[in-house]
Amino acid sequence: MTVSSTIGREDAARFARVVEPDEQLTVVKMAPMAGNSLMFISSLAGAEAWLKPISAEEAAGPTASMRIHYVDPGALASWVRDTIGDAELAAALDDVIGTGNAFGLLVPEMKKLIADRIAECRAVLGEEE
Amino acid sequence: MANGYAGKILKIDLTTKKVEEIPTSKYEQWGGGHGIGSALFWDLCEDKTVAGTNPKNVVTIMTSPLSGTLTPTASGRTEVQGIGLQGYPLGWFTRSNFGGRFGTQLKYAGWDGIAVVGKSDKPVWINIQNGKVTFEDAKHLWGLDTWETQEDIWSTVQADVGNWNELGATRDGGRTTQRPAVLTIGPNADKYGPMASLIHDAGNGAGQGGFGGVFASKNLKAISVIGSGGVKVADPNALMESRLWLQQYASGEHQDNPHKIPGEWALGSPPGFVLAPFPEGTTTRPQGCVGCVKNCRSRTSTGIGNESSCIDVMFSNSGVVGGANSPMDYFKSSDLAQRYGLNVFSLMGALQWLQNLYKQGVLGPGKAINSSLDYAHMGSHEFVKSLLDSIVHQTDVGKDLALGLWQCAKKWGRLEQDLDTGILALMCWGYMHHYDGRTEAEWGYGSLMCERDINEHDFNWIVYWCSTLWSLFGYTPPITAERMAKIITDKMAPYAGDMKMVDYSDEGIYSESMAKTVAWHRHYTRYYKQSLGFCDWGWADFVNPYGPDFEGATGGEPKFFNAVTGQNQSFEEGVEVGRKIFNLDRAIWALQGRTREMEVYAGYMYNVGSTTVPGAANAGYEAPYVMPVIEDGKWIYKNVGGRKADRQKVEDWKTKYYALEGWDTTTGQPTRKTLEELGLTEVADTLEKAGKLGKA
Repeated sequence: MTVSSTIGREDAARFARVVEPDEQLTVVKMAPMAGNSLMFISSLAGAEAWLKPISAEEAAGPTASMRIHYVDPGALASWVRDTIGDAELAAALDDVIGTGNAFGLLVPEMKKLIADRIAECRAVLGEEE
Repeated sequence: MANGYAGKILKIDLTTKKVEEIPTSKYEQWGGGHGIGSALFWDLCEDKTVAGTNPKNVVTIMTSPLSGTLTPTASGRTEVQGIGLQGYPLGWFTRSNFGGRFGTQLKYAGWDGIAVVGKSDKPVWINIQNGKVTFEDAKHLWGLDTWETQEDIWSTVQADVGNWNELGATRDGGRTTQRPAVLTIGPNADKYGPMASLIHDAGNGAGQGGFGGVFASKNLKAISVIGSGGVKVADPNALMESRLWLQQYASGEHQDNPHKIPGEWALGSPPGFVLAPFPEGTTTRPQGCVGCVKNCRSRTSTGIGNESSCIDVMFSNSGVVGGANSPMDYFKSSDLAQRYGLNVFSLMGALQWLQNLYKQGVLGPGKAINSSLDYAHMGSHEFVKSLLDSIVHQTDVGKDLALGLWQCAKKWGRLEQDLDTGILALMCWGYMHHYDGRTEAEWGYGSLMCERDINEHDFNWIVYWCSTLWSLFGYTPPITAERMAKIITDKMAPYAGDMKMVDYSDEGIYSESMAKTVAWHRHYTRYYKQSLGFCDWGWADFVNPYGPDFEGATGGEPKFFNAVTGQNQSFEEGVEVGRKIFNLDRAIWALQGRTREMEVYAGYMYNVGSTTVPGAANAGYEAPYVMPVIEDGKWIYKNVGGRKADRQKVEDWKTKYYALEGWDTTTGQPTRKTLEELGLTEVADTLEKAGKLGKA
């Protein structure tokens, strides 16, 4: 699944912007024993950085030290559509979510979609990685 | 002297500067720890309705008969009790607990515990060296942080730390290479009492309750103890056999063949795990309380973050913008909180609340709540340091936060509205929302029927964390929901056999079966965990990947108690002692003014779902909450996140619970019949005289 359209400079700047505090996406760091901590995401880049695929070590065995970077997948897609304003990326995320896979299996695909869009924005804006 | 007990409790009168020995034998029926602490408080605190800062308040610091023995995961915990400063709407008679070496040193010095009464006319610290107890001037220590204070006391007590030190005047007075175990408070902790912890060594803390503030109110800076004795064990062979029996359940026994089943197990989780990502290049080694096989903390090659774990490390994440702060920031912030002796749970609550107020445009430079802190960089160590400095030095918002969270909200005129919306997520009694009572009922109800966030993870490990991890990452659960329910409930004597006790469905959480769960949990933890000192990280061990067909070690706790004391107590008899202790606590709360009407959650628990409040602090629980439930007659794992608490159903549940405990269903107060059945006739008489006795 990819985001296929070519975007203009105005869209690229809009998608890559840092949103206002009241527009931030709420995410949760899940930590056994300590509970869950509220955190906020201000940009697509922040969302991409937040999504952490499960490591091979975590996938294989004991997970007492697991720190899960959780975001409600539906809330992420809605935020991309309604706040960031990128309907195409949101639709692509919805397609991934629609597979019905467990959260941990969605993460790599959602992360890649967002990373691709960020790279595209940077290319259009002439920014370096 | 009975085996396991030192035989005497140290009563310290700060007003008269006199000490007294109380024979432990008078209190052995209560087990140890919390049980003896509650009984001592009952006997020594003449007016239980006073504020926590009142000189009449009594603070107990108790070990257990297992302290200082080779009992795994139960040798290093110390229980603290007294009237606290943190609770809402009053401090309540409350508890906290810390690990490390203090309890062991106390036992080796010949004491089962300490009861602190009165108030000193000037700052003091207490110097305990075996049987010798002296009052020392603490004026020069009052403004020092917790680490500086300990270093000063170490050098005062021992001229040559690390080498053999004589503790007595004579050659046979005792000698040890240990440094004193010191329990202390932060700099000028009287100024931020409700936020103040007790700290021991680098990172052992009794955080909840505001006991740092209680110490400060008594002009007590620290208690230092060092001992050169030991603990007599009735049957050493039985103790070693019990250790070997337990070893099969502990992950440490299976290092060459670790299980590959994802999940959060109690005794079955690996020891020495680093509980947060250390910066690249930092190496660590496991560190733990005396006698522990789990060693849940770390010593670091950098010296930063030593002995901090869990919420100590995680609190500074709260409210972070943009993703995450740096790993080094976690640990620097953690160390600062330890040095200042601040309660990290309250700090976490403060950070979430401040972030919400900032986002709403209420807080910041020139705003309704004027503050010049750099909220755009919450999570950075620089921001956390500025906030903690502001609390300790009472500047900016810190001068109000120093009053405590709910007290600060009240001063700002925001208490009711912020509890109703949940942007200030104090689930009940003014304590920070930890696990969600709307979904994890035993945690919520347990807290509501007590006086603080219970912070007891035994059910939580398995019914929430394991179930949720399996779901989040698409693992096939190694046991069915039905099998999980069977294993857990089979261990819940005297209620064993009712599998609906762990049905967390929309109906199940209001059932009589859930009332039994809460009753069992209150009684089990009061005795085995808080009185005998079995650590919350290991116990109750319901489900264990190394146990026979996943059955954990719980039920075997008496093996250790009986080996050490020479008694022959059954598991169920221990739970019954816990019931007695809990009823005594309940009687104290009744005297303090507890009524049924007060036992309610904060408004947001009823007003909003656990996953549906954009921007609200309790959206911290916007995560799946997968639990075992019965649906259409079948056991399944299901995400129960999102639901609100139903006010009327909670009230109906309370009636069922009070009835099960044998309390007055109208007031929630203990009845004479129940108290007398537990041998607490004198307690019933006192309640009756105060007009606080429940009607049968």
